[in-house]
Amino acid sequence: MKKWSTQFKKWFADVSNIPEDVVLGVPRITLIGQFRLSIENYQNVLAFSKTELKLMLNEGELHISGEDFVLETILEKEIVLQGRVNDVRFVNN
Amino acid sequence: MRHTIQHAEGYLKAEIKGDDPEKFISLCVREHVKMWHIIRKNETTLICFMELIDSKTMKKWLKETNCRVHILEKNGLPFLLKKLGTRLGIVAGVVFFITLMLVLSNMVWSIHVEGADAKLEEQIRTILKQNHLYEGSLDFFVPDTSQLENALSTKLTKVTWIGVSKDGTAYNVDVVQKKYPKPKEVTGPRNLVAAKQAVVQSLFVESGQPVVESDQFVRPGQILVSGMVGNEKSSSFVSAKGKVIGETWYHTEVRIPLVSHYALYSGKSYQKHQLILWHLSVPLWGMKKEPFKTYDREKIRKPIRFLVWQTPFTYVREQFRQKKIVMRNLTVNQAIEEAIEASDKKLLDKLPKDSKIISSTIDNKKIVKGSLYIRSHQVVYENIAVPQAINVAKEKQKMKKKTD
Repeated sequence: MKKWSTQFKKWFADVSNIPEDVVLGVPRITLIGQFRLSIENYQNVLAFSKTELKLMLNEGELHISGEDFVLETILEKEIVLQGRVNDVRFVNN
Repeated sequence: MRHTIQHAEGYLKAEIKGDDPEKFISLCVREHVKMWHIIRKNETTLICFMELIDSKTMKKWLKETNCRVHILEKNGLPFLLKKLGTRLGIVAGVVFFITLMLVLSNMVWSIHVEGADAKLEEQIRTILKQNHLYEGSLDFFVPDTSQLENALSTKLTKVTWIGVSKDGTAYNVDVVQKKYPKPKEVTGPRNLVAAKQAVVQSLFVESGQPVVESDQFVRPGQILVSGMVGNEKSSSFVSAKGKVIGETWYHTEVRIPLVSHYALYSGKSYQKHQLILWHLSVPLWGMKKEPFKTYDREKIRKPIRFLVWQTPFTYVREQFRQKKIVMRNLTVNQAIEEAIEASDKKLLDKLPKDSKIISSTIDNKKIVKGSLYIRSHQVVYENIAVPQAINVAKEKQKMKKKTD
């Protein structure tokens, strides 16, 4: 059933021209250069340190690693990270 | 920089310690508490900026997440005010200094009076003082320069022109005094002649030879008192002096409206004070829009200065004076009485000072379009003598001819 609904949502987003992240509730990740990363539609902060940020998403986790991380803004739906981003990785268990 | 708005509400820089400080941050974010610029200090500590929250809920959340908070900095307006509260003396000093400067900047420091002699200057200064303008008075209570000019010129009769101007904190009063030409007196030998056609009533002669008698009709230019004394053989010339009271007649015409409207001040007045900042006006005192039905309004604008600068504030004072329209209805008899009074007054204004109206009689009266027209004639006793110089040489020649 769940697969069905995601399929439908994907199809709807495709047809209606509404961005997928709005329809599906998946994260939208914006990376500006290497120094600013904003993530919308995240669920929770799991861990944060100078070199690493772990976020929980709707499905799976997002691991970001780099240097001199500062959480510039943290809101319910959006998080802005500053520093030097080396790696953005999705982890699905 | 994007969090400068937070200054007004106040914010903290805090250290959050615990096994899992991210939990506390997540909780705060879920509860819509703003947080920004989060840095990891070491394994157990996060440093963050956060807005002020209730200490009770803060404690509750800390207990829930098993964290502790250590406040590093307190910033923003609430803390600044608290700090200032402890330095009340300095704050009071600064406020006192600013108000003192403001008061001193809006004070009248000097009044220059130019073109007036000492006596007139004293008079001008007392009148200005009655209008709240003196050295050391506040500019807000001083009326407009045009009003000052009015007040001065109505009270001072010796002045042809008076100008009041304002130059910063100084007022300048420029005066042009009337200079009367010295009355030319005929001091040499002279006659007194009649100025008008009249019947002589009485003569008071100090020096000279009276030539006319009482009840004599005289024409203008006729000699009344001669300056030539003595008989034809041995005569001398003197300056004739004296008064000749003659009876004269005048016609006057006066129009008196039977129904007239007057505007009278009832004595009630209402003051409004406002402070204007650019186009925004803040009423300070007096909220009524129109205190009276009929009124005269006086508006005085005073821009507030600070040292050499003009502040955007303007102090405005409005005075409303209640006015009552009064209708006066005159009966014909009352109107006649008034008409006579008015015509007598009108006549006396034209005549020399000591003149007396002996009788006034109405010749003709008619009412046209609600107005009473009266023609009357007055009998007046007045001094008709006017000095006229004698050409001594000519006179002597004349006499020589006669004697020859």
